[in-house]
Amino acid sequence: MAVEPKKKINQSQLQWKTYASKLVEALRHVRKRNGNSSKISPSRQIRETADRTLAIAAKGRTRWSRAILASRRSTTLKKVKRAGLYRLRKPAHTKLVRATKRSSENKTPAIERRVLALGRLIPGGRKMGLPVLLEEAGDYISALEIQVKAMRAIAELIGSAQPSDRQEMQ
Amino acid sequence: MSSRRSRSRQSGSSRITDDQIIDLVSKLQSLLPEIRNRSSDKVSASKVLQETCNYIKSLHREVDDLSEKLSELLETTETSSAQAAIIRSLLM
Repeated sequence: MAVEPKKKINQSQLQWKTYASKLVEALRHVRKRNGNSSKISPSRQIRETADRTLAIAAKGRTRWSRAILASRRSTTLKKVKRAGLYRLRKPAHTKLVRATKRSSENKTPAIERRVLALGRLIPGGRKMGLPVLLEEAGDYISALEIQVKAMRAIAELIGSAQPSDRQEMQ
Repeated sequence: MSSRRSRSRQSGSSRITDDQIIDLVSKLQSLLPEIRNRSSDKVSASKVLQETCNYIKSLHREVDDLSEKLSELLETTETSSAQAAIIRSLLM
Protein backbone atom coordinates (compact mmCIF):
# COMPACT_ATOMS: atom_id res chain seq x y z
CA MET A 1 0.00 0.00 0.00
CA ALA A 2 1.64 3.21 -1.17
CA VAL A 3 0.85 5.70 1.55
CA GLU A 4 2.71 8.95 1.75
CA PRO A 5 4.77 9.05 4.92
CA LYS A 6 3.27 12.36 5.95
CA LYS A 7 -0.25 11.02 5.78
CA LYS A 8 0.72 8.04 7.85
CA ILE A 9 2.10 10.14 10.66
CA ASN A 10 -1.05 12.17 10.90
CA GLN A 11 -3.07 8.99 11.13
CA SER A 12 -1.35 7.77 14.25
CA GLN A 13 -1.27 11.27 15.72
CA LEU A 14 -4.98 11.52 15.15
CA GLN A 15 -5.45 8.28 17.06
CA TRP A 16 -3.84 9.29 20.31
CA LYS A 17 -5.08 12.84 20.08
CA THR A 18 -8.64 11.64 19.71
CA TYR A 19 -8.21 9.36 22.68
CA ALA A 20 -6.56 12.12 24.69
CA SER A 21 -9.47 14.51 24.28
CA LYS A 22 -11.91 11.74 25.22
CA LEU A 23 -9.82 11.04 28.28
CA VAL A 24 -9.79 14.66 29.38
CA GLU A 25 -13.57 14.76 29.06
CA ALA A 26 -13.90 11.54 31.03
CA LEU A 27 -11.62 12.81 33.77
CA ARG A 28 -13.67 15.97 34.08
CA HIS A 29 -16.83 13.97 34.28
CA VAL A 30 -15.46 11.65 36.95
CA ARG A 31 -14.16 14.54 38.98
CA LYS A 32 -17.47 16.32 38.83
CA ARG A 33 -19.34 13.23 39.89
CA ASN A 34 -17.07 12.02 42.68
CA GLY A 35 -15.16 15.07 43.77
CA ASN A 36 -13.08 13.96 46.72
CA SER A 37 -15.51 11.37 47.96
CA SER A 38 -14.34 8.30 46.07
CA LYS A 39 -13.18 5.14 47.76
CA ILE A 40 -10.09 4.66 45.65
CA SER A 41 -6.88 6.65 45.42
CA PRO A 42 -6.88 9.49 42.86
CA SER A 43 -4.19 7.88 40.74
CA ARG A 44 -6.10 4.60 40.71
CA GLN A 45 -9.19 6.51 39.69
CA ILE A 46 -7.32 8.06 36.80
CA ARG A 47 -5.88 4.71 35.74
CA GLU A 48 -9.32 3.14 35.70
CA THR A 49 -10.81 6.05 33.82
CA ALA A 50 -8.02 5.83 31.26
CA ASP A 51 -8.58 2.09 30.82
CA ARG A 52 -12.31 2.47 30.59
CA THR A 53 -12.03 5.25 28.02
CA LEU A 54 -9.59 3.13 26.04
CA ALA A 55 -11.98 0.21 26.11
CA ILE A 56 -14.92 2.33 25.01
CA ALA A 57 -12.91 3.70 22.12
CA ALA A 58 -12.46 0.14 20.85
CA LYS A 59 -16.21 0.06 20.23
CA GLY A 60 -16.65 -3.54 21.30
CA ARG A 61 -14.48 -4.94 18.56
CA THR A 62 -11.90 -6.56 20.80
CA ARG A 63 -12.23 -8.94 23.69
CA TRP A 64 -9.81 -7.21 25.96
CA SER A 65 -11.90 -4.04 25.73
CA ARG A 66 -15.11 -5.90 26.45
CA ALA A 67 -13.42 -7.58 29.40
CA ILE A 68 -12.38 -4.22 30.85
CA LEU A 69 -15.89 -2.85 30.61
CA ALA A 70 -17.45 -6.02 32.00
CA SER A 71 -15.08 -6.30 34.94
CA ARG A 72 -15.96 -2.91 36.34
CA ARG A 73 -19.09 -4.17 37.99
CA SER A 74 -17.58 -7.08 39.83
CA THR A 75 -14.15 -5.82 40.88
CA THR A 76 -14.12 -6.31 44.63
CA LEU A 77 -15.26 -9.89 44.88
CA LYS A 78 -13.02 -10.97 42.04
CA LYS A 79 -9.98 -9.44 43.67
CA VAL A 80 -10.65 -11.23 46.91
CA LYS A 81 -11.12 -14.52 45.12
CA ARG A 82 -8.02 -14.03 43.02
CA ALA A 83 -5.87 -13.26 46.02
CA GLY A 84 -6.71 -16.67 47.42
CA LEU A 85 -5.97 -18.47 44.16
CA TYR A 86 -2.56 -16.95 43.72
CA ARG A 87 -1.48 -18.34 47.01
CA LEU A 88 -2.22 -21.87 45.85
CA ARG A 89 0.20 -21.34 42.91
CA LYS A 90 -1.82 -23.54 40.63
CA PRO A 91 -3.36 -21.94 37.55
CA ALA A 92 -7.12 -22.11 37.61
CA HIS A 93 -8.59 -24.40 34.99
CA THR A 94 -9.52 -21.62 32.63
CA LYS A 95 -10.08 -21.87 28.93
CA LEU A 96 -6.55 -20.73 28.15
CA VAL A 97 -5.06 -23.29 30.49
CA ARG A 98 -7.13 -26.03 28.89
CA ALA A 99 -6.24 -24.89 25.38
CA THR A 100 -2.56 -24.72 26.20
CA LYS A 101 -2.48 -28.15 27.72
CA ARG A 102 -4.46 -29.64 24.91
CA SER A 103 -1.90 -28.76 22.27
CA SER A 104 1.10 -29.14 24.49
CA GLU A 105 2.76 -31.78 22.29
CA ASN A 106 3.98 -28.90 20.18
CA LYS A 107 5.06 -26.67 23.00
CA THR A 108 7.73 -26.81 25.62
CA PRO A 109 6.78 -26.12 29.23
CA ALA A 110 8.55 -22.78 28.94
CA ILE A 111 6.29 -21.65 26.12
CA GLU A 112 3.28 -22.92 28.01
CA ARG A 113 4.25 -20.83 31.00
CA ARG A 114 4.82 -17.74 28.86
CA VAL A 115 1.46 -18.15 27.17
CA LEU A 116 -0.28 -18.35 30.53
CA ALA A 117 1.63 -15.33 31.78
CA LEU A 118 0.51 -13.41 28.73
CA GLY A 119 -3.05 -14.51 29.38
CA ARG A 120 -2.89 -12.99 32.82
CA LEU A 121 -1.63 -9.68 31.51
CA ILE A 122 -4.33 -9.15 28.96
CA PRO A 123 -7.81 -8.31 30.30
CA GLY A 124 -9.97 -11.38 29.91
CA GLY A 125 -7.02 -13.30 28.54
CA ARG A 126 -7.63 -16.44 30.52
CA LYS A 127 -10.92 -16.98 28.79
CA MET A 128 -9.35 -16.94 25.35
CA GLY A 129 -7.93 -19.66 23.21
CA LEU A 130 -4.36 -19.31 22.01
CA PRO A 131 -4.78 -17.81 18.53
CA VAL A 132 -7.31 -15.32 19.85
CA LEU A 133 -5.00 -14.39 22.69
CA LEU A 134 -2.12 -13.63 20.35
CA GLU A 135 -4.33 -11.51 18.15
CA GLU A 136 -5.75 -9.64 21.11
CA ALA A 137 -2.26 -9.10 22.48
CA GLY A 138 -1.27 -7.23 19.35
CA ASP A 139 -4.27 -4.97 19.48
CA TYR A 140 -3.93 -4.44 23.22
CA ILE A 141 -0.29 -3.39 22.87
CA SER A 142 -1.19 -0.82 20.22
CA ALA A 143 -3.93 0.50 22.47
CA LEU A 144 -1.58 0.78 25.43
CA GLU A 145 0.90 2.72 23.32
CA ILE A 146 -1.85 5.15 22.39
CA GLN A 147 -2.77 5.45 26.04
CA VAL A 148 0.80 6.23 27.05
CA LYS A 149 1.28 8.84 24.31
CA ALA A 150 -1.96 10.55 25.19
CA MET A 151 -1.37 10.63 28.93
CA ARG A 152 2.14 11.94 28.46
CA ALA A 153 0.84 14.73 26.27
CA ILE A 154 -1.90 15.60 28.75
CA ALA A 155 0.54 15.67 31.64
CA GLU A 156 2.81 17.93 29.69
CA LEU A 157 0.02 20.30 28.76
CA ILE A 158 -1.37 20.51 32.25
CA GLY A 159 2.08 20.89 33.66
CA SER A 160 2.78 23.87 31.49
CA ALA A 161 -0.56 25.58 32.23
CA GLN A 162 -0.31 29.05 33.71
CA PRO A 163 -0.54 29.22 37.52
CA SER A 164 -2.86 32.22 37.22
CA ASP A 165 -5.58 29.87 36.04
CA ARG A 166 -5.93 28.67 39.59
CA GLN A 167 -7.96 31.71 40.49
CA GLU A 168 -10.72 30.70 38.14
CA MET A 169 -12.95 28.24 39.90
CA GLN A 170 -15.61 26.18 38.20
CA MET B 1 -9.16 -36.16 16.07
CA SER B 2 -12.72 -35.36 15.09
CA SER B 3 -13.83 -35.61 18.70
CA ARG B 4 -11.39 -32.88 19.58
CA ARG B 5 -12.94 -30.76 16.90
CA SER B 6 -16.43 -31.04 18.28
CA ARG B 7 -15.24 -30.20 21.78
CA SER B 8 -13.26 -27.18 20.72
CA ARG B 9 -14.95 -23.93 21.63
CA GLN B 10 -12.81 -21.72 19.50
CA SER B 11 -14.90 -20.07 16.87
CA GLY B 12 -13.66 -20.40 13.35
CA SER B 13 -10.81 -22.86 13.99
CA SER B 14 -11.22 -26.56 14.44
CA ARG B 15 -7.68 -27.22 15.50
CA ILE B 16 -4.81 -24.88 16.07
CA THR B 17 -2.06 -25.62 13.62
CA ASP B 18 1.56 -24.91 14.20
CA ASP B 19 1.59 -22.63 11.20
CA GLN B 20 -1.19 -20.52 12.63
CA ILE B 21 0.71 -20.09 15.84
CA ILE B 22 3.91 -19.20 14.02
CA ASP B 23 2.06 -16.70 11.91
CA LEU B 24 0.44 -15.00 14.88
CA VAL B 25 3.68 -14.97 16.81
CA SER B 26 5.46 -13.26 13.96
CA LYS B 27 2.70 -10.67 13.78
CA LEU B 28 3.18 -10.02 17.44
CA GLN B 29 6.89 -9.79 16.89
CA SER B 30 6.46 -6.93 14.45
CA LEU B 31 4.81 -4.90 17.19
CA LEU B 32 7.58 -5.24 19.70
CA PRO B 33 9.96 -2.30 19.52
CA GLU B 34 13.05 -4.16 20.68
CA ILE B 35 12.88 -7.08 18.36
CA ARG B 36 11.82 -4.94 15.44
CA ASN B 37 15.16 -3.19 15.48
CA ARG B 38 17.17 -6.36 15.37
CA SER B 39 17.26 -9.00 12.66
CA SER B 40 13.81 -10.42 12.73
CA ASP B 41 14.35 -13.87 11.34
CA LYS B 42 15.89 -15.78 14.17
CA VAL B 43 13.69 -14.97 17.11
CA SER B 44 12.10 -17.91 18.83
CA ALA B 45 8.45 -18.05 19.81
CA SER B 46 9.46 -18.27 23.43
CA LYS B 47 11.48 -15.08 23.13
CA VAL B 48 8.64 -13.25 21.42
CA LEU B 49 6.21 -14.28 24.13
CA GLN B 50 8.64 -13.21 26.80
CA GLU B 51 9.27 -9.85 25.18
CA THR B 52 5.55 -9.36 24.74
CA CYS B 53 4.92 -9.96 28.43
CA ASN B 54 7.76 -7.66 29.41
CA TYR B 55 6.60 -4.95 27.07
CA ILE B 56 3.02 -5.08 28.32
CA LYS B 57 4.25 -4.94 31.90
CA SER B 58 6.40 -1.91 31.18
CA LEU B 59 3.49 -0.18 29.42
CA HIS B 60 1.29 -0.87 32.44
CA ARG B 61 3.93 0.60 34.70
CA GLU B 62 4.16 3.68 32.54
CA VAL B 63 0.42 4.15 32.62
CA ASP B 64 0.43 3.82 36.39
CA ASP B 65 3.23 6.36 36.71
CA LEU B 66 1.44 8.75 34.40
CA SER B 67 -1.78 8.29 36.37
CA GLU B 68 0.12 9.18 39.50
CA LYS B 69 1.58 12.22 37.83
CA LEU B 70 -1.75 13.33 36.44
CA SER B 71 -3.45 12.97 39.80
CA GLU B 72 -0.87 15.28 41.33
CA LEU B 73 -1.18 17.79 38.51
CA LEU B 74 -4.96 17.76 38.58
CA GLU B 75 -4.87 18.30 42.31
CA THR B 76 -3.36 21.71 41.84
CA THR B 77 -4.77 22.74 38.49
CA GLU B 78 -8.43 22.07 38.83
CA THR B 79 -9.97 24.47 36.40
CA SER B 80 -12.25 23.89 33.48
CA SER B 81 -10.63 26.63 31.47
CA ALA B 82 -7.21 24.99 31.55
CA GLN B 83 -8.75 21.75 30.42
CA ALA B 84 -10.70 23.39 27.65
CA ALA B 85 -7.47 24.91 26.38
CA ILE B 86 -5.90 21.48 26.47
CA ILE B 87 -8.63 19.96 24.41
CA ARG B 88 -8.35 22.74 21.89
CA SER B 89 -4.62 22.41 21.49
CA LEU B 90 -4.90 18.64 21.26
CA LEU B 91 -7.25 18.82 18.37
CA MET B 92 -5.01 21.23 16.56
